[in-house]
Amino acid sequence: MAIDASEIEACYVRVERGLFNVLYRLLWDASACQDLIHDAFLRLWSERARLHATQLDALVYATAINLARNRLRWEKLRHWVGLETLDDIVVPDTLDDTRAAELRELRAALAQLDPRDRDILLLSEYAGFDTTELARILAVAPGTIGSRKHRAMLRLRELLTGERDAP
Amino acid sequence: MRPERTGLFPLDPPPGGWMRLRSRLRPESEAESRWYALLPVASAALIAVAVIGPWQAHVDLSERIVSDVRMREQPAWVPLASRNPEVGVYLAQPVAMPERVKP
Repeated sequence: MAIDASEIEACYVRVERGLFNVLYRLLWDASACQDLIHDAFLRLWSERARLHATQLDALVYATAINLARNRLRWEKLRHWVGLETLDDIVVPDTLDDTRAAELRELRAALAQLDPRDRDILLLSEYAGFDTTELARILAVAPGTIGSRKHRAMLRLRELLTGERDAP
Repeated sequence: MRPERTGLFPLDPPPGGWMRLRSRLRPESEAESRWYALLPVASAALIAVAVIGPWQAHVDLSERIVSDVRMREQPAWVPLASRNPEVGVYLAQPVAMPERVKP
């Protein structure tokens, strides 16, 4: 039990890119994503005496996704009461206009997915967890992961390309 | 549907993330740990003061109003009786109606 800074660093290096990509497709703001990743790690750091290194990756993902959901709820509430919220995505400087347009299309399409399906799709796309780990992170039955991911992919394809599978 | 053509293409996170996080990962001193342990107790005490204070003030005010009303409803001779027992006793006596003179 108990983890130290070197294990936290190793975990950060392992999960940063995947987690950043998941969170970016939820929050659409790179600096906000990095802040949220840091918040998730700081929470785990404060609980380090009770944690084991083998749990870290899944715990970071679960914590960060929960923080992102809380943030999205607040943004929704702020928008509802008329306060300013992020209307457009914050595109990284390194991307050209075509890529930026693709991200905007993706944002519009993801907004039409069931949030649970969307989370499964993003995590399976970037995080590299198996079904059991995904089920634990998202607190759903392992059997539903595959079907939801499939449904989300079909719907996303339909929204982005207009292609619809024959019934 | 290929991810690299759908906006699902992987992005690089902003650089220097670990260095910034590392500067915030400091071990807590024992004094800090004790303070953190006291936080729930302090929060509960604050909530208790915030709730019980106004409630107690409300109860006090209600009791004062009730006692004021009672004072007002008491007959006029009671204060007199308290100041002058003789008069009070006298006034407190039911006034006897004069008997009717029988024809």
